[in-house]
Amino acid sequence: MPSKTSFLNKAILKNIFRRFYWMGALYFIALLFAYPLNILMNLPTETKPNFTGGYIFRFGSNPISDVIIFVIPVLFAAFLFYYLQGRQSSDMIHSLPIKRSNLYNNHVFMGTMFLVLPVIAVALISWILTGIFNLGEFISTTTILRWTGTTLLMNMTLFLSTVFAGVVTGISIAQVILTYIVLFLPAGFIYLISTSLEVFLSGFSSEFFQNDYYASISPLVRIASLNSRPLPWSEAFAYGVFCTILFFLGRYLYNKRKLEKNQQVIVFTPLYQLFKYGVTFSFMLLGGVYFYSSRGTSISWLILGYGLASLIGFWIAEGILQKSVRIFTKKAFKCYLGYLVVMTLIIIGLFFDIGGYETRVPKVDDIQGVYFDYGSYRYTSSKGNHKDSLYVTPENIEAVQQLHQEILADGDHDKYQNVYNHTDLENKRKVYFVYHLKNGLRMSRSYMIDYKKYHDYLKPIHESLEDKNIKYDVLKIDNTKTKKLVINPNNAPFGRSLEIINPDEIHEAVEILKQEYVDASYETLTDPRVPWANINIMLDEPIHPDDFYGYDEYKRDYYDIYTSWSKNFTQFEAWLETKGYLEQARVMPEEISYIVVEKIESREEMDVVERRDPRTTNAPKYGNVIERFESNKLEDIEISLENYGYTYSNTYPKYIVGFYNSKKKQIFMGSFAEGYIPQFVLDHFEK
Amino acid sequence: MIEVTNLTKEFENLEAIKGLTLNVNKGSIYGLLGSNGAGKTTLLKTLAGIYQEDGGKVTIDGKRVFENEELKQRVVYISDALYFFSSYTIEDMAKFYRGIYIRWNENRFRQLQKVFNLDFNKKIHKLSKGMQRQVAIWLSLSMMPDVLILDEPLDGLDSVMRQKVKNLLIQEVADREVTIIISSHNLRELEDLCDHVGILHEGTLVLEKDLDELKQDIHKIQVVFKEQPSKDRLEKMNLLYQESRGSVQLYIVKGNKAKVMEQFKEFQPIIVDVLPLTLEEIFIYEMGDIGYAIENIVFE
Repeated sequence: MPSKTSFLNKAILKNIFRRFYWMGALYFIALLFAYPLNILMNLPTETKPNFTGGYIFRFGSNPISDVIIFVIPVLFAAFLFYYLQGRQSSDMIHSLPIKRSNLYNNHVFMGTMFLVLPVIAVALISWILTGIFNLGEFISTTTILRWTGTTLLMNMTLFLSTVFAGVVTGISIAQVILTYIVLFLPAGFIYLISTSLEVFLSGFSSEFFQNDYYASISPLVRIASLNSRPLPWSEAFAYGVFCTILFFLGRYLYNKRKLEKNQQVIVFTPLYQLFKYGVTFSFMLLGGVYFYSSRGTSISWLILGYGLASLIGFWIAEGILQKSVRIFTKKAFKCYLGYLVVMTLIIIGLFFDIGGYETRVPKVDDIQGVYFDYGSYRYTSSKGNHKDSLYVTPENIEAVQQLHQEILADGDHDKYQNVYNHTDLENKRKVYFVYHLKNGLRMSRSYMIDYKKYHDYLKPIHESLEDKNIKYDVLKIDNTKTKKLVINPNNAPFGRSLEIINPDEIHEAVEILKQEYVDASYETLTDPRVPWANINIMLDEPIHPDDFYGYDEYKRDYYDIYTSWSKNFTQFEAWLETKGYLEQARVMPEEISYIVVEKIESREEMDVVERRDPRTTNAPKYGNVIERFESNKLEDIEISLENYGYTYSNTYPKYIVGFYNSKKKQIFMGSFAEGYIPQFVLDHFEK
Repeated sequence: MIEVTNLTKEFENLEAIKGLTLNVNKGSIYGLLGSNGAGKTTLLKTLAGIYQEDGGKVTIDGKRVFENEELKQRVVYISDALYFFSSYTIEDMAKFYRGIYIRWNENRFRQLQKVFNLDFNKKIHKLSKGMQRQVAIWLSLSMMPDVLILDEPLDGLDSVMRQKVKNLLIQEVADREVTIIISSHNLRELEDLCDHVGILHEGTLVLEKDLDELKQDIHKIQVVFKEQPSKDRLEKMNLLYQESRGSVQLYIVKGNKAKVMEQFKEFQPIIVDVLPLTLEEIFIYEMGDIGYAIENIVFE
């Protein structure tokens, strides 16, 4: 007799095995094709002398296995627990002298076996094959082990999630659909909520929440991203904990399940409400964000979208629960109205910023470190504790905090303004703050500001060594690790470049560049002129080894650091001159035959200039509407080369300059920014 | 043996069973009558430990059935909608139950084959509905239960098989003192099987009777009087019904048979006869007003 405490029941196990062994068998065969057979098919042949199956155990590269991992565990759970959803089968099984938790254990156990054994078997076979054919260099044991572990963990996550959904719903189809929805939901919610909050709360930036890290809270998204980010131990552990919780919670609910509610979408009454308002809320967010982004970014569209979509969502949720389309009874209407009232209160609360979100600035004493930049990427992409991207010196912390206060005091970052307006964009930049507070909390804000207006605040921050150390990798170079230094002159004809391989010279150059950066003023660092050259320094070791974690499988032998030779870097220029490299490191005026300077009065004129064939500039097709000045004097050319900047400014009038070769072909184009317009240009145009 | 105390069971705000109390003694066959939706199946599934009580208590031998592995070893339930694992043969199914029920009796299973005359290796799904029901009963009897809970077990069986099954059940009670609770929507079907009958209507037990007592207690008497006795005198007897067909008077009387006959003889009738009463008639007369409400339901 099966004792009361026994975890499994032999008769039930046998029965499950007999009925479902084909699932395990099919899974095994599918894996056999996707892995060991795939290895055999990629073995070297006469026409292809190299093994071509290095990708086989990499997630996201093996199409069969990608489908398998998303589908198989869910199907297994749906099949195994199909008995629970049917009235007849459920009555029969539950009339047997077996406890519910025992039934649950047996089915989960058997499903686990079907999911685990084939994977292990296939991993073993593959491992043996790599041994026989000596493929260790393409498919290492570690790779196979990592694949095995990750696959098992993800299989179990999807399987137990589906089992859990099966316990909660009373229909198999609903079980499968609910599983996929719920597993995707965290990522979707974070996206929708953060997008919505960005509209309501000035200073809120969704960018901090819409990245890989948050998206991978959703297991489905995580599986898709295994390819670029393998599972670290910490996450694997978290998934393990998640699976354990799911197992026990599922069993607890199975014991509580009312079998008479089979064939209903949601079996547990309290979950009814959660489902109903959850669906309504999701639809509301989705509709609002959809209307907001597709119908022009205006808050009235957002609200309209909320209203319409929540009604549709409510109708769908009620319809599913009641299995009917005619759901609008007085009671349902009251429920919906109640929902609307709550939502209106929340939106009003956000609108009037009841939580004080918009005016909050942490006290300097409470700040441990702060991230400040013109983008969120450096923060969100840095892994772990972000310590490489934070300011921690009291001077910078205070400066950033004061800047923040000043921005709030000015209040010119209007709420609900259209930040994507192009004419505005020129002088505006989005600044991002992330405070790491001493109490362990973090606080992030982001504003669109006129950065010129805050020059006095920004200057000390960007001139600090701390800021430079964070932003310029060149300062972190260990000179014993350098291999090569390549200078690529900007806009040089034929893309010529200068390679320096003499270690002493590299050493000198790097040290001078470091000094240039250390000495650089804010104005130098924000110089609008095009640098003389881009510099590429190759190292033996990466400066940020984390960036290569897990997917540096190509065993590269060098790592690049990029920097540039700003027009202000006179020391570096002098060094190049003494070494005789100067001519190779920049565009020389001798390489230019003549220049054409034009005064552009409007956006329309700029359009004409951009659309014309650059090679025929000297004979403008559109007549002589645009005022132009041609010069072939070497000193004019040199001054122009020294001062030209990028052409994307939208402030008119502006001067653009084209550089031509002897064949009257335009080599490149630039423009003169305010403060850098050469005297000869002013002499000609301003007279 | 089986005790149901103040049981309530709800389905989406709708009470399927409303404070029902019921007792079945050991070795008795209890017939549960009621129309569709009266709550029979719900009650039986709760008795079998499939459903959990919302209120009240269901016990067998003083122990709660729900989630009681040990007790459920002795309680076997046959649903009105049968379920067998797909592509299982009778033998496979027996093998499955053999592993589950410790009291499974293989000899019995082999012997009963002669009664049902079905091939062990037939796939159950290919059998007709009636045959499937036979298989279910066959398997259930092999589990050697102390309590059999049968939901409309005779449905879909032909009259020969019906009688066979009834005999088997009665035999089971006689040999092993099995307690049986059996549901039907047709009283006639249970007449020669049950010793107790309960009528379930809209979730409550409207009537519960010992059939033997009932039959002993109620009589149909046909009389021809020389002269009609006075109403007063007749009404001293417990008359449930009277009817006159010309000179012949028909009475349904409650009470001890000998006593009733004595009373009639006092009127010195020309003829006095006791006629057989069907269970159906008994119920109709006994229940009076409720009887007419339920009549259509229970008697088809």
